[in-house]
Amino acid sequence: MKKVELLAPAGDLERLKYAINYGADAVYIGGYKYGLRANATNFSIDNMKEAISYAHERNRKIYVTVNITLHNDDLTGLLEYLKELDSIKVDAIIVSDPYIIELAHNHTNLEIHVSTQASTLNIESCKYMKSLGCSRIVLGREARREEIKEIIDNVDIELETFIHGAMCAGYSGRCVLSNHLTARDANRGGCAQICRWDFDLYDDNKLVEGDKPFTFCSKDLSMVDHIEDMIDLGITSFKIEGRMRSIYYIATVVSVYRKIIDAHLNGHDLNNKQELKLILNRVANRDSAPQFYVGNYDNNSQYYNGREEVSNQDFLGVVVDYKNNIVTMEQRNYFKPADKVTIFGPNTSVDLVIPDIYNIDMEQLEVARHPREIIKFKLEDKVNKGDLMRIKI
Amino acid sequence: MKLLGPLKSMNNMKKSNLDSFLVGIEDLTVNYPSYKMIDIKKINKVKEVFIVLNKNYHNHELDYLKEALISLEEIGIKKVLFYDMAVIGIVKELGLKLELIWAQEHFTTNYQTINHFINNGCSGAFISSEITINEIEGIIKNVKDKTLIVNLFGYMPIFASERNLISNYKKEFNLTTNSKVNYLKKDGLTYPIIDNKYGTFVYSSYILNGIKEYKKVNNSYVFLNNFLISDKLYDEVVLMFKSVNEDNKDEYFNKINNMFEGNTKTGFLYLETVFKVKK
Repeated sequence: MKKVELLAPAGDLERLKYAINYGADAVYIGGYKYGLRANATNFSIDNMKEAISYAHERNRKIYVTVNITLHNDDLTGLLEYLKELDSIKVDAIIVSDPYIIELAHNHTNLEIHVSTQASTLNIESCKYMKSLGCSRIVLGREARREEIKEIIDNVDIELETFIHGAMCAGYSGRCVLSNHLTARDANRGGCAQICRWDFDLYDDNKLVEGDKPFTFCSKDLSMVDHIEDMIDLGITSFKIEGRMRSIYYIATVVSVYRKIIDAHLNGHDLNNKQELKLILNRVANRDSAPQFYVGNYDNNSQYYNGREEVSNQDFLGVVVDYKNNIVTMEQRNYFKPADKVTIFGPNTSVDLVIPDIYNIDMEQLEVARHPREIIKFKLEDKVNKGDLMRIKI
Repeated sequence: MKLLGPLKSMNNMKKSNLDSFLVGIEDLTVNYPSYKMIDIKKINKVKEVFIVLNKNYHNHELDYLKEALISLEEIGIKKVLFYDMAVIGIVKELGLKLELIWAQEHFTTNYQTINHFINNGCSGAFISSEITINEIEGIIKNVKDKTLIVNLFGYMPIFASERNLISNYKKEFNLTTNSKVNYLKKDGLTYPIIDNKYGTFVYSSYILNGIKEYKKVNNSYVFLNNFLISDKLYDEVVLMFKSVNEDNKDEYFNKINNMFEGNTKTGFLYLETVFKVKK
């Protein structure tokens, strides 16, 4: 069985390191220009160099999104930017605009991946994009299982599919609701997520009103029940959505899929898959579904709760030090002695009951209530700097 | 300036003042009226036809798409607007003599990508409605002697999904609707929405009125969309575009606005979008 790739998002260096440390084979990032997450922190060229160095030292890859829809003014400096990405040894660029593909193909050695923004869904489109010099296609989210199989059987090109995270309500690139409702250009990284807004639906001038308002919004994507099948199908790369997500989200989602993928590739049965699914379900606190892959995009794939979801308080802190059986933790959410928690990391999995806790001056505390406050407590089991602590699930 | 518009019905096509018709093909086209090949042959004898193939295709539709492209060449159609790259791939592979026009709605926003498609055998592009008139002029200046289409009138498609969003909503909450076109309302604005066998499609809340810019796009095809516009009013608009000049453009602009009770705007012709909102 060929090696498959777990591909994670990162909005900055810290998140990139978490993605790699928790098991991503490759990470996709955006620069200050030409990416579709204009409002993420993103990476300067110097940041990218550090990211590439960090990744390559660990035999991982870095892909850079260059997937905006170009306007005339964006053309200036584009070739220089592509050459710069090439010179710092970016492993691939993710592109939707064919002119960028042409430039990169003719003037750089960059590997070119077709962005999901191009909504590539069929054999002939894949063949055409291959003819332009692309080595991989990130399929449109509307691709069904059998279609993916047909493409694999008929086109010699790597395929990448999304496995987890938010979904566009429409075809990628064919939604300019954001442009029209807020003057924010969705295809240049300014998407205002109008799909999550509530609307009043009218029929013959009469309000059509359900228990919840009309919205475009779909549930998140989760392929946790199908990832083994996707591996067997021959998909090369499995992509997690979310360059603006937190370290906790990235670490959790990457580590869960890493475990499932590795178990399948090694022929092992996972005896804790239900627990892993529960962890995944809680991390975004939104309903999820496998959607188009299994042909389901009916009302059960829609999300009618609008913006009601609130961040849960699962993520409790980050280990900043462990010495002499004392954990030093930077607090992220409220916790207190007697809480049941888990500290997890690339090489850590410790369940514990929180003992007495102390502040940085070793004054005993009743609760850890202040964000970013340094908290210390005793722990026999070894944990590592960068490990995360969550409530026990 | 040549005027291009969708053909709503074959009944009055000979009387139309349009120069060319935009014509869809059943099951290969979204957003515009579609016809069978036998009818397209008849339409092509009356006026120049631009076929629009703007659906996102799945594998099971490719054989039908190939058959349609071969038939189009056989019946003498020249110009074909396309969205999915499968179309350009198939036309090249089969060596069909069709003039392909890149028409990926919201992606046709700069001259170099249009020139990329021209260098790859296409004959032009349908320019996006989400860019300014200055950007459109920049494209026209840098894409010479090719077929460029500029939208200056009508409701604009702003969303397409494979999901049946209204059907889903009705099913979820056990509701019914009767109309083919429904409306979404938000902040005092009303957006037409259609849910059909191809998915869900949303249109702008207003009618684009760009008649004042006729001169800047003089060597292009000007697209006038008749979606949700009565035949009578549409014919009047077409006649105004036929006769617009520097002396009457302001009068026509106001007249069109009045015809549609003030629900017209100039879209993005003078409005730049933003995309970076955080420092």
